Amino acid sequence: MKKILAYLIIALVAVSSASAQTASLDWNKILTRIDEMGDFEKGDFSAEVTVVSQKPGKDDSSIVVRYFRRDVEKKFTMVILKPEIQKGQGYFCAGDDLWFYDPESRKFAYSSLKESFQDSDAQNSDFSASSLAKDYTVGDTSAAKLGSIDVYVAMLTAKDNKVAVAKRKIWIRQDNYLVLKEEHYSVSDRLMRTIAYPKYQTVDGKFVPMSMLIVDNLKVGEKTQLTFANTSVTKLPDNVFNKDYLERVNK
Amino acid sequence: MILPKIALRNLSRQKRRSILLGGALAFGMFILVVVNGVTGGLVSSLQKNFSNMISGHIFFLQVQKDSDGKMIDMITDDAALMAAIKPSKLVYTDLTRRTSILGTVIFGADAASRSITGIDWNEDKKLASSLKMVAGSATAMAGSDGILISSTLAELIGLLPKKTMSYTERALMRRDLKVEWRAGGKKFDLEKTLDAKIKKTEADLKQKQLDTAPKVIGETLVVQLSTIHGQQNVAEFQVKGIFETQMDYSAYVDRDKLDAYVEMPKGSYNLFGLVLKDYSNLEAKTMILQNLLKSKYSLVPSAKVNGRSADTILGDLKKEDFKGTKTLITNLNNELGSFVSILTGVQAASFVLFLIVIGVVMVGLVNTYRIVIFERTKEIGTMRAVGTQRKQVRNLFVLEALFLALAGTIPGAVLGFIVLKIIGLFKFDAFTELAYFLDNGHVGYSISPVMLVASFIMVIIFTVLAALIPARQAARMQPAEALRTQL
Repeated sequence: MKKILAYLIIALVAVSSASAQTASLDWNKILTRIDEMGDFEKGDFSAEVTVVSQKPGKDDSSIVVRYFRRDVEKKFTMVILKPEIQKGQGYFCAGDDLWFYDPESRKFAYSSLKESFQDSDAQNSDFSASSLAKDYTVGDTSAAKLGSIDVYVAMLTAKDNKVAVAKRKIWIRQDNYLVLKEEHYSVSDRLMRTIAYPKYQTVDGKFVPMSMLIVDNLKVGEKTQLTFANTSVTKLPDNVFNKDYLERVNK
Repeated sequence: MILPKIALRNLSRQKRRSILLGGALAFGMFILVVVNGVTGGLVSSLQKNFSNMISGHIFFLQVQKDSDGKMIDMITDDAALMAAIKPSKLVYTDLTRRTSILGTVIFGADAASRSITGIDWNEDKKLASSLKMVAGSATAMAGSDGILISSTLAELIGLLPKKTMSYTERALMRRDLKVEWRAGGKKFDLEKTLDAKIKKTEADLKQKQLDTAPKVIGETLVVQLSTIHGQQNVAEFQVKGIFETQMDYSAYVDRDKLDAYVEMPKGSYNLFGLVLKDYSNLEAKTMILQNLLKSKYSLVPSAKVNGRSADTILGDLKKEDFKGTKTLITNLNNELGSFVSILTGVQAASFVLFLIVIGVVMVGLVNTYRIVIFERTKEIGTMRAVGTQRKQVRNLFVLEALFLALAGTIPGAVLGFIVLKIIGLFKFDAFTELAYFLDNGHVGYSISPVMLVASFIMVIIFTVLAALIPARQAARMQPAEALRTQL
């Protein structure tokens, strides 16, 4: 009996100290830091992204896109390079508006950041810059371990009902606040997606994930992997960041 | 009375000529009746199927913009609309108030996009009885977390086994049977055996599906959807029933439950539908409602509504900067848009073809009557000599033309109707893409009585006119000269 009581007290102290540890942190600053770490506010960012989707009972599908981002204007452009059948299709996003371009019909279709990217588990919004500080408040926090890495775990709740993902749970490294894992929850508290960021690369002082693994928690067995390669922060011409660019590359 | 008898006798004297001319007129009438009947039937079936699917012929929608300029599709004020229905004198069989959103229905690893329609089961009673249930029941849906889905959707998400063979499966069966046929020395009829095998396999598949269906009642389906503000949400529903339908459009749930998931206030909805008893002249009937309500709501002008689908109009409103609520009153024909336009175009083209055929026949008739009058010059001279008046001679030929027109158009129209009836006997079940245009798998027909009567009158007038010029020439002949003519 005494032993059980002792163990209970130790556990309580451990939890309290972990909570106390995270409660003393300025989470607003942490979220701002997380956003800043991936925000190329001084220049442009481009990369080649490979998106591989796995669905049970179907062959894996792979798409390669050239991705250009200008965070100061909240714009990004993507052009599909492979497979051959989809070469030339593209996306242009400015703020909350997103258009999909089909070179076959030479028409733009208005889309949404909330829609899935090319029938994968990635969403179009996964390609825009992070805005956790602007969109979320922090609820419960704790310290934990993710594998062998010391992390903080925080439950984020959307500040208003216009943010697409109502709740997110994030696991961030204690030493540099890099996000290692995220869980996205619906308004009804149902787990929808889990995203893992196993490795990061440094590009011009900023952190870009080398890969993202997205698991669809609603559709059993579906997952998508995004890999970022050939990254660059070379300044891009202004005409890359408008809809006409997608038409021009297909001429 | 004697003139009609003589006219009929004269027609029967030149049987081959009369049959050819009458046959040409009959052909023109036949084409008109069949093409117009089929296209009219396709339009009518399309309207009926769509109105059953989206439950209404006239629709009322409202949109408003939130503080961020995002448009929300929700009817917040239907008091004036409900008050206007009685004075509109529109005769309707049903009135529906539903919430309709797009969601992804998920079962295990399979998913399919579908419209999810929230029904007030206490008010919208016809739907439950109209669904052809193969398992479960549409009763006791009110206030429940039940969902009614079609067998097509159930197959797509792997809830039920498929009841038809795919093209690949049929091709593989054909390949294997062909091997057997060759090995057996080609002793049996390959096509007949294959058809029989496919029929048996599909009958077994259908039975398997029917046997499985009751066992999946109670399964949980996950529906991924968005709230009206655009937040991602996930709903869970229990399968309460599976229904059979030619046109899989929506899954049905309780409206209050759906409203809660999409964060709409309880009791609200986003689609009002009026199911009319007679859905002809939809534009005029929509106009009645628009006129009654234009002072009560900020209506989207009818010039911006006619010929455009609700989605297109809402897309325009999204780009507009407006305050408050905008109300849209539209009808089924605007939703069917290009389908109806294409079929109406085909009807117009068939009428033009009919006029061309009639025109050609008229030219033939004018020439034929000239020859006829030339051949009967002596006969005309004899008639004039014994006292027949010029008017009577003219009327004789006009009567011949009139009887020819009647003898051609009436059988042509009757034959057209017979062919329409025969076409209607065939079932086109295999062509699932045509389901919208068919009436329970059959091609219906519909001909405007006004168009039919107008066509008859047109043929008669043209035929009479074609005969009139030669008839007047015949009437003016001098009897003595006519009698002297050598043929």
